[in-house]
Amino acid sequence: MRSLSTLAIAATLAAGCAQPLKLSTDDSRVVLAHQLLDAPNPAARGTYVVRSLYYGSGTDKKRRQFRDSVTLKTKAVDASPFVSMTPEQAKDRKSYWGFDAKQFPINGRVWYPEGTGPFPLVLVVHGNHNMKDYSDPGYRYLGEQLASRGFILASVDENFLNGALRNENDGRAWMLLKHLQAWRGFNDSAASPLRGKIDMHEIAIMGHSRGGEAVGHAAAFNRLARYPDDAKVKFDFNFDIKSVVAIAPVDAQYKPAGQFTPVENVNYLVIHGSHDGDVSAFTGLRQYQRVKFTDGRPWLKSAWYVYRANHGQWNTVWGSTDAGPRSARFLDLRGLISPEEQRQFGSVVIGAFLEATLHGKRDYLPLFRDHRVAGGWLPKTMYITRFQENGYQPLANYEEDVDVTTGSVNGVTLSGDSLATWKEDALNLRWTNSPMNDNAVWLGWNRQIAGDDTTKLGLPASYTIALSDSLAGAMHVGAQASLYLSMAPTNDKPGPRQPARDTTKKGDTTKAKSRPPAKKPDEKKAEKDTTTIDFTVELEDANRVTARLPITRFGVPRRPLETHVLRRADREKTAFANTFEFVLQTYVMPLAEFAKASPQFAPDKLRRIRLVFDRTKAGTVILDDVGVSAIDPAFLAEAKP
Amino acid sequence: MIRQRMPSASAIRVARSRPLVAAVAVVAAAHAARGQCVNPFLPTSASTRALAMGDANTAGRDDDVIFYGPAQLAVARGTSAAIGRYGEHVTSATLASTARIATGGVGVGASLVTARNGVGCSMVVFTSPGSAVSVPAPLTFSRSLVVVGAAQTYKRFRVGVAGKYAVRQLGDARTTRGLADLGVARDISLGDNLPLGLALAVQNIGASAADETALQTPLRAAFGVAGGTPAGPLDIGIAGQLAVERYLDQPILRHGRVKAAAGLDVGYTWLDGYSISLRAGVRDAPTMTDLRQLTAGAGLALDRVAIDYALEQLVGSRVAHRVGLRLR
Repeated sequence: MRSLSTLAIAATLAAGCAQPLKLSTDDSRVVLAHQLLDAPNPAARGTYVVRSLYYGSGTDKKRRQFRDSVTLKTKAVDASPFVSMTPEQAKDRKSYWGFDAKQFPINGRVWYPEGTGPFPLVLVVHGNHNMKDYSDPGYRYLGEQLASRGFILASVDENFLNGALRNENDGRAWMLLKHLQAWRGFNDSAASPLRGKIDMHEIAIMGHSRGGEAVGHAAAFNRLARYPDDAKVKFDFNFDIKSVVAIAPVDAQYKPAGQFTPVENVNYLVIHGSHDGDVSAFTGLRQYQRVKFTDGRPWLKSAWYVYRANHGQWNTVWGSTDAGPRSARFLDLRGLISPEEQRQFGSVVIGAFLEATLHGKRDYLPLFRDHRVAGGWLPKTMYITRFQENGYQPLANYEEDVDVTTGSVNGVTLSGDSLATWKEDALNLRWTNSPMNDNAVWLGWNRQIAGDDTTKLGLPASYTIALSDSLAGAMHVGAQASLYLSMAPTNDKPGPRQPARDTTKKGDTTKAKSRPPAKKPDEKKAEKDTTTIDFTVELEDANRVTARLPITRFGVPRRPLETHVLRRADREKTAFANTFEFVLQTYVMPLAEFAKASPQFAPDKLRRIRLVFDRTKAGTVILDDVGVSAIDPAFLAEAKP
Repeated sequence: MIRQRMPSASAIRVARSRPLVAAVAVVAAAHAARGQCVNPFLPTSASTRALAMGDANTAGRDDDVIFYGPAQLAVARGTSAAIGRYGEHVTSATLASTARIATGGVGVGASLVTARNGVGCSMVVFTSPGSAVSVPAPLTFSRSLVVVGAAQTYKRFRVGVAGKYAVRQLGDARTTRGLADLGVARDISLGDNLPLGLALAVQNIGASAADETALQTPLRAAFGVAGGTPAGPLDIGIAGQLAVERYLDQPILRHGRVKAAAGLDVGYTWLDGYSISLRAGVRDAPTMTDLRQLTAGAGLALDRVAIDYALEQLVGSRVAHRVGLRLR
């Protein structure tokens, strides 16, 4: 007995308070069972022969490639207005690198296709990492893939901004734009092997981690005449940046003029891993929300939450240990998808995004509307995706006021029936005390009537978004339009519903005395529910004709994906408010499909959108961004195998 | 610390050559037939972890560094308690605690070493140079020390100051003294992977030459280095120290006694906050005590609690044990 106790104590000590591996049940074999797009796999090698070169100062003390192997020489730039360092940091860095912020080099490694071009230009910039463990080589896999498909990719060296610097993200962004200026020179210079091969009208900028935030600032700076934090510094960029890609970005480390960076009129893609051991909350969703389309041109934005992906595996130098070489001591790496799978995902989605937005290959557009169309390309894990294109017109995004009965535009009214939960609230990131800067509505229901008879069900609860006649006319909702909503089930299950009062027996108190009153649903004591959520989307036209389809036809409503990044449960509890991130899935529902289901229904006379909670007995969902769009039909095309 | 023999010739030579301390120099004599007698020069180590590494702790980062130099208080953290047992007649206890304040830190520490003689022990007291008398040794005696210190980081340097109150109780005779320590420290990096802490401490400022034997607090300057680096799955910690102590009333730089110490810590962390360590150290034996050169030990860290064990070599093939508990 004593030896057993000793063994038990020894095992406890050995295990510390490490938690067992906890993952949500994977449904990807079903969800990603089909490949409906018949375009070429965007992650596959293309037909171009790939060349590579270096450009840079030619004098770099630490980087041999940028000293001895540069094909294109560049001049150093003065980044001191954007990068602040303590005197000690400045001294250390000058001693290590041989230069300070007044002489930052424009260094990059390039993969480009052999051919006459012109080819779209893609810049990728790494984020923060050990400055002595150079990060820029880690995107070679993307460079070779994209170059073979007719893109020029340059991986930008900003290692000298890495390490313990703070408030330097504007510097990262400005450096990226200075690289674009250098590229303008490469395209124009007679001595350049890339002369005339660069399509300076088709530019994408891509960044990872802090670089992922920096691309947002760069997109904003690109169209500004002066630096927001010091108007004495003039900007003169105005590049044709069409697309912006953020890989596991941070957000708001720099706030121009004290504000969250606004970005307008670019295509925007953000990807993030659920098991990110560095940026462990999907902060890129905040920038996603801030991207606006205002000029009527065809833009799209897309956000991907990748279950079991981490922060670093999109860069081959960074790898799986997101917080340094010894971080496996505290990061739980057991649940991660393999580095190859994670990079395969990156190649597919980034490749498709750039093909669609820079090469104009519209075949890839449906991937961003509904990722289930690419089951053959995507690694088998679970994805939650957000999507919007320039045609989207909001009906209810829950930002504008505190009135739960009004929508986001005049003429929209919101109403609920038999709901156990109906409230508007702010969404939060997984990190403790981190707002998402986005509001949504919580809708909960339970059809079960309180009492001894657990089979007794009430009428389904519902939530209705109604459009006035004038609004419907003004929005020009046509038969080819689609309905948008973004939604995430929660784990909460409201208690049973109160029985309806029998008004015919108002004076009779006998029954009331003989039966204890039904328990009031208590939101705080809501149980965790794991059943699959489904409900009906019911559309009603001006003639009161309805058409109904289940939400599961347009996407997969998943319970929150269980996420444990740290090995120690106690540290996980301290660091995070939840063991999951609320990421809402966007459902794009063509009205034509409703008309097909109910031929009498007239989509162009849409008046009510009703969510009828009839397919799951009880549950709670978060709903946001309800709207309609005259979406480009290319997004809806699905080539059947 | 038990002596069952007469004091060594060298110890007596040291005492005889010190006119200023003649009145208080003491060495226990033994009457083996009647019981065990304790060397009145008691052990001075105040850190279990450091003791296992040769007691080289001037550049340490645990709370008990307050006994070795005040500058590292700016980076030290935690609270610790330790007890040591040197045979059945000598016991030591130490308490220390630190708190960080912005870029600095404050700390407090207390140590107590008590000893109990057997019946009939005597000790030699030198009343004047070359003249000694044997007197009965007190049954109990002790040495205690209370330290309060603070440190602040300025640019890359940490500077610290500590005030100490040392007491020696020898039977009914009590000797006390207020003392001060000063220190400066900074971190450097050797190559890319070996960060080192360097610390310099000047201790026992205000001590008289007599205090060296009465309170065991000689004026002392110590330079310490400590660092760590990963080696495969292991963590290697190193510590080294070079100290110069005042010898008699001579200038410390010209005639000081040089004491070197070094230690090694090999640790394995299987989960963040959970680790096991093995340690070994070597040192120049502290003056006139029964302590010898070799030390060793082990540590087990369980999140915020760490248990340390140290073993030190004593004269006569004996060992002393010390156990410490640290809270972070």
